[in-house]
Amino acid sequence: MSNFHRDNIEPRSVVMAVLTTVLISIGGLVEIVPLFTSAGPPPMDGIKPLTALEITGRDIYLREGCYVCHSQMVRPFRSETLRYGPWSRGGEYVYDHPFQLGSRRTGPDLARVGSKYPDSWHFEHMADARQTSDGSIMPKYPWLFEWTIDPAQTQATMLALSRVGVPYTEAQIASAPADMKTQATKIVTGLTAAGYDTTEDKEIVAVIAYLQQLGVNARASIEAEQAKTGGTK
Amino acid sequence: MSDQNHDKIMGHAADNDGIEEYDNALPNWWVGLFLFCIVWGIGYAVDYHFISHRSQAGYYDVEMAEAAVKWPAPAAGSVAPLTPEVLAEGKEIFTQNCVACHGADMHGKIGPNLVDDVWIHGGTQADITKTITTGVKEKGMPTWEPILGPDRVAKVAAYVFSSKEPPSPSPQ
Amino acid sequence: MDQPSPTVPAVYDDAIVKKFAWATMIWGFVGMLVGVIIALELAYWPTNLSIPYITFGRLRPLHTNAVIFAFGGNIVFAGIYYSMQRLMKVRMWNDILSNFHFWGWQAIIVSAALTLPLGLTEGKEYAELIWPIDVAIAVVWVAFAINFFGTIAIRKVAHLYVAIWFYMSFVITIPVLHIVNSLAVPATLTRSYPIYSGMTDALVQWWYGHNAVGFFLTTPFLGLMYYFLPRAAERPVYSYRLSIIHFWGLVFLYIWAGPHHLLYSGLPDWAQTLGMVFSIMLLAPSWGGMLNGLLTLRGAWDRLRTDPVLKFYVVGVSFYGMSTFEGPMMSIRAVNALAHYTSWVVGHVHSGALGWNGMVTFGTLYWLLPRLYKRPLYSTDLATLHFWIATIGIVLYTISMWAGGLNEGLMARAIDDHGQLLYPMWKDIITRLQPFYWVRFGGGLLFLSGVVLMLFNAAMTAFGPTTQSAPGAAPAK
Repeated sequence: MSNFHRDNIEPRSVVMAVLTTVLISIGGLVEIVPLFTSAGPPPMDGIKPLTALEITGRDIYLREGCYVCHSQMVRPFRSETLRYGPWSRGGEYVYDHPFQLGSRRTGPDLARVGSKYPDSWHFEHMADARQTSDGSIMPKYPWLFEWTIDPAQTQATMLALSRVGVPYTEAQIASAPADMKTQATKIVTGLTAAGYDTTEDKEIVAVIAYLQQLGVNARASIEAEQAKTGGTK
Repeated sequence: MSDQNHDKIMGHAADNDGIEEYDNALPNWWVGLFLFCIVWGIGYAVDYHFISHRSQAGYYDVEMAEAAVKWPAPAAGSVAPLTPEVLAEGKEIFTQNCVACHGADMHGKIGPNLVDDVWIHGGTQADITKTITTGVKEKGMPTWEPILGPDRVAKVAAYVFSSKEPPSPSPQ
Repeated sequence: MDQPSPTVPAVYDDAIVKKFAWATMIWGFVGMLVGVIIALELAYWPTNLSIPYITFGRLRPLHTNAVIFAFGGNIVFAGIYYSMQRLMKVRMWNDILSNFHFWGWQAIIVSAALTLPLGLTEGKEYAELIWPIDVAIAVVWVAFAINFFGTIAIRKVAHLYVAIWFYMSFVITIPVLHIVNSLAVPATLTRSYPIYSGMTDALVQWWYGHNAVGFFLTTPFLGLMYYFLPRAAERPVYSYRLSIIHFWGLVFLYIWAGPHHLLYSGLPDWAQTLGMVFSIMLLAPSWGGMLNGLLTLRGAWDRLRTDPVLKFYVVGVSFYGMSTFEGPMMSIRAVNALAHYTSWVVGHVHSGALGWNGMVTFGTLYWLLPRLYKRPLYSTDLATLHFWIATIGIVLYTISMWAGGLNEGLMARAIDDHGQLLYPMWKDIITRLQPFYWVRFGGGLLFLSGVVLMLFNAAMTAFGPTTQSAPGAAPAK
């Protein structure tokens, strides 16, 4: 065996390079290619692309690197479904580019945080997490309350996402600025009524919009499915 | 193990910038480990998918079914007794989980006032227990039952119920 | 190019090696300094002073990119340029490509260090760099690969030594991983979105991420070990046959193990199983490298007392063996259920990164510096001190993260007598972790201090006064 290797492979760099290329390709091909076919997770019913304001919030979530401390994946264990809600199915992530499952829970999972708390909770939490969550080590994010969102950037995001398969129509992209305004006004109205001062163009409003939809559709879809089959949650 | 090997020199040094290599055999235990891991891996995969037909969803269902037997859900409408121990424990649970929104003085902040006469979702002890258990999704009141568990929910509800009449009596 | 005639000994390009060696030390210091800062941010959150550009979420990608691709990358390149010229008995095929590689790589690192704190990111762990930088990486890598294979083509020896096999797997695999994982549609000059959706993106990413460990932090470092360890120990490699088997075993098996990062996720069960069982199968090929490293030292153990290079190598190879045992164990579903998402993973990563990559890097540098500058090492005592500081730092780091991770994992799943969560509040877990975060900060600070000692020692070796009277200085060969 070692003689064969010595005489036929070690003197032939091309043979060695080709052999290496073939061997490193097999595993990836076997594992990844099927996911593009029916062997991959089927899209979950009721999952919709994010609205213009929500996708703007997601871009901020990416920018701030939230995924280095927060996961978005509830594992199928009772201790996790008690703490967070229904466990995460593959099909609920179909419109996630990039995925944000995370690898470390310095803070809690966020896959089901949508509509768990009022908008005002998130407003206070992003300003200073200790106000709502005693003992938290999360940074303060004062700049989210000052920096403003740019609908043109959101349109660029939506256009790029539509090219990778997220079903945004041209009409949706065109009406993004108006849609953002409408959704932001609703959030700001609620916040103002609760005594919190901000305006529609602030990043915090987009972040709240993004966080408040996390897992909402997936949870509804999973619960509807369970109601049909009578399974556990 | 070096004694069992000959330490025979391969004679590769000229090609290896002077680094020589021995013709020593693969350690037996290492070969055994390699084969064991391969056989075990194949056996595990075949068993998991084709013999025992296991799945992570299946494991979860079993875990939940076992828990339902071990810890049956409390009867609907059951409330905790208003004993000093229960109220003291309820107060601690309130301090840890509820003050962020309802305030340490229970006068409300993100969530509503809990010591006035206004009860949006009913003011009996059973009502309060139910509201905490299920939450109020549209108002952002979390569903506390899975997080705290029915036992703690009943205790904190007892504490909130006992605190509602002004002047708020400190339990005993 | 300037090929030496057969009768004249090849004139090797050591200037490029010096450049990569210095880049290793400087970026190593920067990357580890950022690591220490973010460790402090976890122990004491107000550390970031509420400045957006230095929050944990932005600096953590900078730390990982800097230590892997700047510190790890530069030492691998230094080691390859030094050893491959000697193993091929020729100068690098093309000096212009060598220099393009060096300056291109440093430009990529600088642009990473500028963009990541600004929040310009693709949001994929270990592949955060924005698409123009991704393109630059591919271009620079092609230049390096052409030079690498060009040098092999003009070599003056018949056979390729095992170190070259490992380098080759690195040169071939990294661009495959990088390009496939980075395929994205740009939205603007600084933002792009991957072509893969959801779980497919997750699988591609962890196929990339796991094999960045396999083919950036493992195979080229094994190549360094196969060249520098026998040279430093002046002993033959223990088993040629073992080299062959464990090399091809690693090359074939490593690539499958990515899904172990996605156990209990929405990835189909069959893919998770493949990730787990191939991780188990990786144990023996990984240990083949450890065995060949440690057993090569037979007959040279006495020199361990005096030679810091061998000290670094022995501890490095031992940590390699330990973390390649721990990794497969953590890939087992039941163990992963406890370990995933906790500090245990952070401890595992650092036992590999500080213990294996860090120690092998230091050993290689202490061996190279006197030879590159043809002057004795300024101080063997300082190098030995560096060794002990680094070792204690690693021990503090890994033990605190293991213990903290076990606490977290057990607390998150703990159930009380009523069947409800024993620790429903996240605060309980955060509070428990605080002391461990402080110990980890201390361990990291020690490790960083060792790098400072090395920088001083290296500078004195290269540029210090020529009259050399430092105590314990070893003669250079």
